[in-house]
Amino acid sequence: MKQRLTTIILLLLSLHGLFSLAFIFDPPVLPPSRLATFYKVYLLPGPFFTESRIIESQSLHLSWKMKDQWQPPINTSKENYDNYRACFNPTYLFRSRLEHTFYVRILREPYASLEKKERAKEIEQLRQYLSDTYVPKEADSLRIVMIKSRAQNFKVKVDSLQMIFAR
Amino acid sequence: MISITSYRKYLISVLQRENSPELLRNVFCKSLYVFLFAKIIFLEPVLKEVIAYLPVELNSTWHHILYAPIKLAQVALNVFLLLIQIVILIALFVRVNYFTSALIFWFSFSLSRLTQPLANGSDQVLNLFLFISIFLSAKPSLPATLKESQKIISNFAWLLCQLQLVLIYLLSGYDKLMSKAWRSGDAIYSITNLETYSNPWFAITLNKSIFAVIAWWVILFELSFPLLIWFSRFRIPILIIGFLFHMGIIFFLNLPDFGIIMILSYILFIPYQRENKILSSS
Repeated sequence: MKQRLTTIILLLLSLHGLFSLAFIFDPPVLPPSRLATFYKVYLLPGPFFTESRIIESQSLHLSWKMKDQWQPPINTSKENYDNYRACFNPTYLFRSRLEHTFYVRILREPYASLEKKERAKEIEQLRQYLSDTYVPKEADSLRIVMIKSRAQNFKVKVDSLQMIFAR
Repeated sequence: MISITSYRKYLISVLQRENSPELLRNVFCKSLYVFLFAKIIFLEPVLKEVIAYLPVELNSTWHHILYAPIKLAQVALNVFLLLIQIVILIALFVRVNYFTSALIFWFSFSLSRLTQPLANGSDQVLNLFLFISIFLSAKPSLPATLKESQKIISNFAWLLCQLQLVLIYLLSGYDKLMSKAWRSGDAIYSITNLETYSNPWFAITLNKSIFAVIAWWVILFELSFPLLIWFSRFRIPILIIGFLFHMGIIFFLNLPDFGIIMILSYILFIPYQRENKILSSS
């Protein structure tokens, strides 16, 4: 029993090692499969800090109009990060990640492939969240400026998108 | 051929060893539980918003069963959180066992799905180790005829955790080695420009050569870890380098959860003989 179980486990371990190496080195001859997806999602966390994830950086600047005057813009996600750095409370970090998710989805490319309905839903979720969390009730409009910066080849390129909503 | 035979002998000796590193197993599992407990406490204020603005939609019956805790969270968030916290607290005060380990994994897996917009690599690593740790436990003890098998499976789970950690580094290191941006150091430049990640306290202007040196240091570390960690001679130095590397991630990149879970996983490689010494001296 002991020997049989050891042999089965050794076999499983060898197979797992082989599959893992195959999916890590991912040669072009390897066809996409459910097993590969399963391995990549659950068994092989990473790779971390991949090129595609570190090149682009997004930020959001929110301001609102009150008594006919636009208030100075705030960068909510950045403020949360700054609060985290000030007191090392990870809750700020989680909030910052949540807000980041809202606008990264909107800024992702290509827009064309996204259904209009889905994109409108994402924008509405962002507007609703910001409106509920940061904007005073007396404000009559809000303005969102999303900035996408691309740091590549030791240069930074910046692009922006502005949206104005009436309340 | 000789190396394959000796490798097989080594694996058999690991799987069938009598004096398994029980103290390390307990420390490893319980440190994962403490990490999850702390994460839940800090997540709690944000969870309501996640549920309200980015709700999870469960489409199939299978999903309804697999993610049943999510349904509970959507209906009664406080009950869901209280339940996880109670299970974790019980698990912390009793011996590591199959029941609490499986429950904690199920809750953690569901929580990660619920908080997917806030998730990063740490969630994946945590859930992977929590899953394998179900088999790490040797409690409740099975009947005498199955006790031997229980021990072998527990040893296998420990070895699998070690293997998974090594694979994580290999995957990341290989991906970086294949990336032009990492080889040139451009990737480090990009990281220093990530508004929400890089820490302005440490913002310094570096030239291209220094970016390249840092990038290659990371690549070499990630690629050498999977190899050197198996040799007792290099184990402690590589763990110390890894510890410093992940502390860097915690402070420079503001990714405390990822840095901490990786440091915790180093418990898997604390030299086994040392544990024996600790046990015999106590």
